[in-house]
Amino acid sequence: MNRWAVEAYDLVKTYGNGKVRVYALRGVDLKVKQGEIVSIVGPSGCGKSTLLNILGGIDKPTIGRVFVCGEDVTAMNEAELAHFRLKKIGIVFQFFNLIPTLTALENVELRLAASGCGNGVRKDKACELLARVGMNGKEGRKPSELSGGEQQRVAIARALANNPAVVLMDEPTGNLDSITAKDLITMIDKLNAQGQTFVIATHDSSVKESTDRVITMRDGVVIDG
Amino acid sequence: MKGSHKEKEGRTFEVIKSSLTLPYSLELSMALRNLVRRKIRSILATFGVVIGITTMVTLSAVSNGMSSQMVGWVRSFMGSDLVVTHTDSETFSIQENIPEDLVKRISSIDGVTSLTAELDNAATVGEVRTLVRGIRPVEELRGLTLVEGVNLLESPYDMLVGVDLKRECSLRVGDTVKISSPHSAKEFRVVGVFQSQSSLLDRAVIIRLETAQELFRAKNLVSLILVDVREPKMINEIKRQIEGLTGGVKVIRQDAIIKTIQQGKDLLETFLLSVSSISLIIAGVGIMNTMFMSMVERKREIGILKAIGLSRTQIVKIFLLESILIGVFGGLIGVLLGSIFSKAIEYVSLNYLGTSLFVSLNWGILSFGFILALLCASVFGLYPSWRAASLSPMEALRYE
Repeated sequence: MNRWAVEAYDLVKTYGNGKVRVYALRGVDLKVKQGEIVSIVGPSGCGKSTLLNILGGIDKPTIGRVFVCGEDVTAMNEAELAHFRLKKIGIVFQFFNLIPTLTALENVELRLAASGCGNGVRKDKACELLARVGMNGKEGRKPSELSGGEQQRVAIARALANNPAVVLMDEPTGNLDSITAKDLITMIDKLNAQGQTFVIATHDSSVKESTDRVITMRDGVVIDG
Repeated sequence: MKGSHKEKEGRTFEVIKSSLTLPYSLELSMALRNLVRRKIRSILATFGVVIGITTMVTLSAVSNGMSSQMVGWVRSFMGSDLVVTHTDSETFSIQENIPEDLVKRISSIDGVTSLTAELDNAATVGEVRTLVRGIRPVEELRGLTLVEGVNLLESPYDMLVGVDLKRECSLRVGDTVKISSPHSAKEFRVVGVFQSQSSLLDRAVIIRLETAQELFRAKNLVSLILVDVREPKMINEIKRQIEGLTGGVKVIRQDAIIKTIQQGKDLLETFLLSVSSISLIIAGVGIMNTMFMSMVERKREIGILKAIGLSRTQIVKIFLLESILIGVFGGLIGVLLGSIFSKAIEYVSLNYLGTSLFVSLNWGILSFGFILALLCASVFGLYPSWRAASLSPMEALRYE
């Protein structure tokens, strides 16, 4: 069994073409063990989000390779990437990004449904996931009827649907007050106890302190960690 | 090498399987809520389909009614090789008549085997304005089947009613009904019920020719003479002889009528199909526009769906279902309004315009209208849905 949940080799990401090229990543190497909680820190524009997007198969690197649980993400076609994101990766965004027309339960159900989970089982699983993030009793509420912290919990429950090997979080506390952010960190610790790997891009020092390892980035390269 | 060929095959199957499975209940509720979220736009797109389908159903029902009415007319003359009418008579107009003595003169022509004289006019039967036809001999019920009662053999004031008129006026054999023409009114007794292949005749009344002449003050006049000829090769010769008997009449061959009707029907159908197609294309462009606007507004949502792992097929299904729902609603309302308008046209034509334009609405037209709405919505919704699903997740997520 591969002991690395995430492996990235010599990742380069550039934007633009011709004479004007902007380097978002300049040769990033990274390894994250299974079950590890890693935070990626660094100033805005240092490439944290770009790195997370590439690890999650949302974006492609210009050069370099990424393996998640031993599978070469960079070699996958569009359909395989969608399936990979569905089964292996959970993503939590800074702005929650819930589907506004769906309830909390349906937002979680959607990911389960996409992987072919049957109606009855799907509802039970979604309820269980929402209960794990402390959202029981609010399953029928739409995102507009939830606070920022609650929306982020639903987003985490959605990310955990299908039991992904790796959960990627991009500034998960960026839009939360300090108390809610603290609750979220405690929750991540609890969830990690069940063996999931967390890679968290953050500016928040309290998040950074609660992780197993801190990777520091600057100008598209890893300078520490 | 990471994984064997077999593992790769298994993974591909999993990818295909998961890309197809998304329960319709969830997709349907997403599609419905998105339509409700953009109410005005959804209503306008649906309205486009409604206009297209209403036009299509109404025009088809009218054209179908007209052609079946005409074909019914012709079929009711089946067995007669020639039809003699007034020169100015168009499509068996009920205004122009010819002298009755022509019947005797035609019967003396060698080769003529049988003749039927008819007088058609509009009258009010009970409360309903409809066609009243006088015939002689009464034994010759050409193209009609007596389904109840007996033929007009006894009293001059006996009548036969068409099955539709019987239903409409709740008539029974033995009932007495007043028939009023602009000139006189008489009580008639229903002695039988007939069925024909013409919706017009099924709503008509048949009486004796002499009684009809009295009722309409058309003494010694008839509308039509139906002539049977011994051998088909004699038709042209007899036609020429009849035309030579007197002026002011025209003699039409049965096959010529059928051919003309068929040509007219084909022409009308082509025209109506073009009109319906144009309105449906306009409706389709409306749907496409709505779906493109929706795609642009929901770019970020598409990015989220892609980021959480939904496949291209699943996203196409979500968007396509929205346009199909527009088609379903538009189709249902269109079919309903089309039926109402068709019936209204028939009602106005019969009761206010004094014409007898019958519409023919059937499940074929209604289902065709509904299926066309679905097809139009699916075809015009497919491209925007495909464009939405083809967005890269990064591009979509960056959209503000």
